[in-house]
Amino acid sequence: MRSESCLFEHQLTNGLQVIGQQIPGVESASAMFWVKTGARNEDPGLEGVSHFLEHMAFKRTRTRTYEDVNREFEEMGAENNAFTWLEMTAYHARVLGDRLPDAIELLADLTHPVIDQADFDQERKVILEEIARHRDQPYSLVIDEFLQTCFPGRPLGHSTLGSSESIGAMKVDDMKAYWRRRYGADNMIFSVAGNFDWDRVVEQVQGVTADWHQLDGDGWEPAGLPSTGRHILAEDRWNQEHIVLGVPSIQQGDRHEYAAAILSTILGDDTGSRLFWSINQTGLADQIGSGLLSFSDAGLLFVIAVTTPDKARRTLGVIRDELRALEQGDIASDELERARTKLLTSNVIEAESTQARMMGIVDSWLSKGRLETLDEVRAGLEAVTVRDLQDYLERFPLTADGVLTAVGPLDSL
Amino acid sequence: MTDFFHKTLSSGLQLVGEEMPGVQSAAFAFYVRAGAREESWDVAGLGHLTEATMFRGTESRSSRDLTNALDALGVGRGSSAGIEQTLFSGILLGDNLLEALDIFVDVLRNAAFPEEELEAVRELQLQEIRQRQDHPDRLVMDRARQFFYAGHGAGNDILGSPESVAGLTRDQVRTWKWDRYAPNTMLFSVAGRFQWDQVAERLDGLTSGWTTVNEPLDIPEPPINPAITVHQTEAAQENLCFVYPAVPYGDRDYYEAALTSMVLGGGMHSRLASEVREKRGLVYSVGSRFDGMEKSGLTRIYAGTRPDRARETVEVIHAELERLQASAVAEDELSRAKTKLKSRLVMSSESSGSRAMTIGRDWWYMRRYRTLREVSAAIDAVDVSGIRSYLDRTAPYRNLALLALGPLSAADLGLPEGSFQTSAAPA
Repeated sequence: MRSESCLFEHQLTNGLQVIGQQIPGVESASAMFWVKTGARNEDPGLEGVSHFLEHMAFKRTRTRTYEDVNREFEEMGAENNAFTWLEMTAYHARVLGDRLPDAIELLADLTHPVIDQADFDQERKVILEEIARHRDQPYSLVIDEFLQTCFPGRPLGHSTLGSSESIGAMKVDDMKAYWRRRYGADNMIFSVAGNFDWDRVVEQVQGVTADWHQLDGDGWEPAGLPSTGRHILAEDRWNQEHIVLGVPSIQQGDRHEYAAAILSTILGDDTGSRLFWSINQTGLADQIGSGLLSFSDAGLLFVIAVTTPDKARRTLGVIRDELRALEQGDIASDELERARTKLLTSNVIEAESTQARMMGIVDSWLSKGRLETLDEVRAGLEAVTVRDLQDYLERFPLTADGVLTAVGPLDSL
Repeated sequence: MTDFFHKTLSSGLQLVGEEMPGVQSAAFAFYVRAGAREESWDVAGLGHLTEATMFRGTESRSSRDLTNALDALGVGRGSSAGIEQTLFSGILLGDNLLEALDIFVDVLRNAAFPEEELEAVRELQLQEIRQRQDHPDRLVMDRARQFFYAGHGAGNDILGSPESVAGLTRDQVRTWKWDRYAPNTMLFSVAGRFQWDQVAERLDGLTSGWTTVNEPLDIPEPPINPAITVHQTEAAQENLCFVYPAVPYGDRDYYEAALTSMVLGGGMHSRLASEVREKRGLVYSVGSRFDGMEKSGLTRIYAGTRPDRARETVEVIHAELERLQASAVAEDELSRAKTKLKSRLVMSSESSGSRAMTIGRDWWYMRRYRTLREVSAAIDAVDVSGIRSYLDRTAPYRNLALLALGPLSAADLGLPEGSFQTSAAPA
């Protein structure tokens, strides 16, 4: 059974944390280097450096050009990608098990780029394209605006892409210094899931990271509590109004982690939730849902809706009604059971995926400092009672003054 | 070692299934021969409206009954109306499969389309049309297909227009469903953990007595419109979609088409990624996508670029297509593309959801089951001369369409009037 998997962990002498989850019966393996650095680490003037650096990793390393990097990923039949956000920069690849050593060696190499001026100037153009593209994606835009309004001028409110100004002004030396400070072995996690030999993986990772340097600097500044407020970005060209409403919630590893997940499912899951019935099923908004954003030292619960401009105010009113009703009213036990069943089922299905587990064990490590077994997760979900949901709601009221952001044609809501 | 099963029930419903040892999930899909290509322009969007209202109540279960029952079984589910077929799918723990099938078949057979539910779904569809306008990168891909096949059902807009959707009636929805959703027009596929005999027996019972419908008319292959179209609209990027004809699903040149698309634009080491992004920094997003359908196939190339770089982007992509037509692909490029495609196939076969779709599609289009080994062998059999023949047969560069969606005019983009072909020298 794929769910009967083995968990492994080992910390190298250089501080790199190595974690793994074997999944019996699969041929592939997913591997990732996760660097605990992101937009929240960026000093003023360096907005976007983490993400730009991630791009530079693919341009040139100590032993490879971008052509080598791209060709080798192809030759090993990899599905690979990288991503940057507020608290991480990650490089990952999925390959058939026999190519895992190649993938590990290449991923390790990517984390040690050579920042060449000509490559930098060239890749800057690509970043500027990505920034322009982002402006054409209102759904992503409204979430960014939401975070920036929750943490104005503060680390968790930083824009991951940066701005055309900050990217235009960025210098190679600043990026190199940032890389030197942040890409320390002791500031990283290596994660692997699927078909692998643990001892061989550890030995190889030890070998390829032998000459890595250490983190130079502290962890991040505290996030602080989310602010309250509203921010409306109005542009005539949009057809739909995109709305996000959010309130404080749990940070990673909080004791109410499972209660919060179940509550969010009850509130805004894409079938059968409170918001589903009152907003989607009534034809008020085609897109409606809720989610949790749990950072290392702060968290948010948000509702996102996309609707026509003429229904926007009413939609917002209904969302507020539902938040109030959930907080102050009853939660039926069958409602709780259905939410629990959904999460239990996802838990099992995700256990069958190397990509999902590669990500899942990192999440477990960051929030708990250890690897939770599937049985523990199941037990955690099964233990949640209505009383737990109420306890969560007392700590994190849904009717708190939160943040409202919108992107669309409307000037006000 | 996976086990494959197939059966045609007395009701006419076709079943295919692939057991995957070691998983607990079961993923399934019902394919219905109902697609937007059958819609006349005045009822554009009818198939989608019908599909989206199916789960809103049957003769014996209300919308809430259905939702609660499926949620209690932990079924992750979705449905989508396409050009050629409509799909209803689910994934859950295999132990709950039979009960989920009770509900799915009730929906497919006895959907009631309550009036107020239909009105709510209509509202949502109108919103979806507006939403698509707000995502020019998705809009350009959809519209490019529509223009390429304009005048034929394959070019229909699945969502319809605000006018056509506003005019759809409950009678039209019921008739559409009555005429098309029947066991003899449907296929059921399942992959993962299930008991085949139990599944077949259950579906046999559930579909017994369900009236069949007339065999649908054969829809001919669509002609193509290799034209240049420019839509000016406010956007931060110019969105470009080149289209060229390819081959249908299961065609003898299917893997030639897939591998050509991969060499051209299937990843960071592809020609387009190298020339457009890496070397010139013209885009963030550029790529090529091949879709093979029943009677035709097409390849679409997407690029999103800032307006001041758009003209050059068009030139570079156009030049790459000329180069492809002239010199096909190199051995090493082809070899890497094969490795990549085979690897992708093996990796995706680890997912029950992906496997249910793959065996479903193979049966739908080809009435065949293919093992991974068979597909790998078909990929391996492609060689450079085969790609040369494929390119001669389909002539992408001589049948090229382009849709540009963004702030620029045709003149800004340096585009010829009408089409690339009228201005090109004879081949």
